[in-house]
Amino acid sequence: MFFVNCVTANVLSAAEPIDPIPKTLEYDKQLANIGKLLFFDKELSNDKVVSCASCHDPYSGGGYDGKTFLGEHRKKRIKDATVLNVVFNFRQFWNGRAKDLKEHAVMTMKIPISMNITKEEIEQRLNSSESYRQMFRVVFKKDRIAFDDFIDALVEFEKALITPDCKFDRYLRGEVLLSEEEQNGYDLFKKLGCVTCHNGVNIGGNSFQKIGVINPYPWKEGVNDLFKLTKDPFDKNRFKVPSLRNIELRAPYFHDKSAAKLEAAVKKMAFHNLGYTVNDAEVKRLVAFLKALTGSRPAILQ
Amino acid sequence: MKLQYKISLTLALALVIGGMFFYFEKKVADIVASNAALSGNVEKLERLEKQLDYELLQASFFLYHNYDRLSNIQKELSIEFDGFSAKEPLSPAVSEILKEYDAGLTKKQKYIELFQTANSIIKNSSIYIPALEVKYLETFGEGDIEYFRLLSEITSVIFLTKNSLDADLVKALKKPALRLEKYELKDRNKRGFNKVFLSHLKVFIDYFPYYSGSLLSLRDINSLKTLQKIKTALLEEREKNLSFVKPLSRLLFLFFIASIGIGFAFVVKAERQRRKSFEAEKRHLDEKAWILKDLHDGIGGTTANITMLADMAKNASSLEEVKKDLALISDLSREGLSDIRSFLQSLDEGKTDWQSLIADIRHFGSKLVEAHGISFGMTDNIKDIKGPPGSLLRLNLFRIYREALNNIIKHSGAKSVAVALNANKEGVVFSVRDDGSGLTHGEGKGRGVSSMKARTEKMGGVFTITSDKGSFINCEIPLPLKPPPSGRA
Repeated sequence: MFFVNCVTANVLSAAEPIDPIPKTLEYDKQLANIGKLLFFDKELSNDKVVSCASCHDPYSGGGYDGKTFLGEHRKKRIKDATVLNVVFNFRQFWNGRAKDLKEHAVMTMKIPISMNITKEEIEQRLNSSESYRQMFRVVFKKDRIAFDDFIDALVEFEKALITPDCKFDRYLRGEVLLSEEEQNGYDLFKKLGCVTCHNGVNIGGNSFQKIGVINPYPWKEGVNDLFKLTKDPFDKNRFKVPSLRNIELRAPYFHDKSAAKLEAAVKKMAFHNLGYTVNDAEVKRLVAFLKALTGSRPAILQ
Repeated sequence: MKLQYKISLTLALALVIGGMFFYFEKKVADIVASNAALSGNVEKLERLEKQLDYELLQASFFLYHNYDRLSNIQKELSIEFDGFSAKEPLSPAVSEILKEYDAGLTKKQKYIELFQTANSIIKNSSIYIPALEVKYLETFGEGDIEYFRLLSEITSVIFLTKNSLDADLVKALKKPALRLEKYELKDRNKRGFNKVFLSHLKVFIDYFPYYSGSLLSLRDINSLKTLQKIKTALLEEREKNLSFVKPLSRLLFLFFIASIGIGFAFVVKAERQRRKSFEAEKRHLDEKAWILKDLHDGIGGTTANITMLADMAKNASSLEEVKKDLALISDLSREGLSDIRSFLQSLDEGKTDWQSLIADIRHFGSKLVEAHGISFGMTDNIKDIKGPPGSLLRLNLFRIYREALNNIIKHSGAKSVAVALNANKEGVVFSVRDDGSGLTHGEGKGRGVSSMKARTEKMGGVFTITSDKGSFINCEIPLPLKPPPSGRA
């Protein structure tokens, strides 16, 4: 009987659609620390108004905090994806047009409402700083900082931005039990079918899905969906699924920031994609589960 | 060409061939190793492809799925493929199939992305529809049997379609879907339910072709078959490369062994020649030492006798005695001179062959005996013999010859002398025959005879003297001469 229980437990555990974030991840600490300085350096945007952290604040939810001054032309930005746990995404950007973090960083430098800066300008600015040159010299053993080295440093820092040890991860590892409400929320999360899109380490970030499958979601021209890349009508409102990790810190929600609170986001999502109207008790349970996904601050920021 | 040059040339050739052999052997090993590494890459790709297939099926048919596994396998595939493509040199055939495989990977990525979207939608709807039917029963009871049957029919077809991947079955859903849409329901809650049920049904009908289509397209890409083609091409390429290099390497190995063998044979030959020449040189030196000692003893003895005779002449009491002594001194001096001349002749490099020896014997004999009215005849037969007679043989033969002729002139009263010199590779037979009175008693053991015998035996030969109607001296000397130990006279 004991054997049967063990086997059943193992099979069930193996069938979990969500994996915990590893406690540590291999990265080059020296290079990541240079990347950290670069990430917060406003000198690296063309107008010197924003740094990467202006729109992706890793100290909060990894996105825009809604307060930092970004300059007039950046106001119409769509919702920024979080930089936290970004290393676990299968592709980058809402429509996944960058295959990895490196490609993402290179593209971001060119975006007019982002850094809007050329490779040459970046190199010129970095090489005019003696402190950067000295730091890069230690890692790359050369005098001149190349654009690729700069990108590598940024990527190395982003790799370090993982938020392990949320309550749910510890539950998955068998270290703690969830509260009744959280557990019910997780069961409901699976039963309703949220988990068919939100699965894997990042509880999302690993497939393209359509928003508004059952009840259509309004589509706006110019939105950063896959349609913008492919022009295939099938790809309208088809996005890379956002991660649900640290979701309580990520308000407002959706690519169009149309839900101010988590409860509203849960209701909206269930209606549009599952054709299901969640009641208040269910919302409460689901939110309790979602709040158990808030992890600890990345070690590199401590 | 000198043997030394031959050896050097052979060894140089062996070195070059050996170098080429090791070069081609390394090339064979390199071809085998690089091919094995490439095949290893392909096998890893095969394993990953199988894993990917399994994950796709799991994502499709299991209740829960984790798309990370799909993207992780795809990343591994991509890394492995990039590593493989970067390897040099790949044959055009392999490169061509690799391109085909790469195109397959790109297609696969698109279909997997499409599958993920459709799979999540279809999985939810195919779970929602039966759940909704259950909910209907719980909420409304069977009530309207016709409506409930319609729901059951739809649920069954959806179950069947989802599990069979048969997109044609979707057509069977369109009619019930239309009926459901037009179904008149008076209850507001039932209308609400119908709307939700219908939404899921429509989603199923709309997205099922993407779902089954993406899975079937993924199946049709058949990357495993392409990988098998790469493996076959790699094997063919290996065989093709080895078919030239391997036999060449074997041939070079044979040449290498052969040249080493030839070189060794030359070395052995050179060693033999060196030893032979060393022995000849040693024999020559030994001969010279013997001759010199012999000469020294002969001239020494002659000089001592001349001195003694001169003293005797100086103190002689009568002229007769002086004359007799002087005659003896004259004879001894002539003998000494003859010795020296013979010695010099034996050392004369130009007169060391058999023909010159025969000529000298004939000339010396005829001149000596014919002066005393004795006729001279000589026969010779030299055959199958290599190399010259040598100084030792010449000198000793001449001494024996002179002794024999002097004896004939002085004591035999012969009218003719017949000399014979026969030589072959086995040895030399030298004989002197006369028709004189033959040996008188005691003559056969005289100083002259014993000297001739001793000289013959020193050369390892046999000396005989017989007497029957004249005398017959015969020397049989085996060739090559056994060199006398140094210092032996």
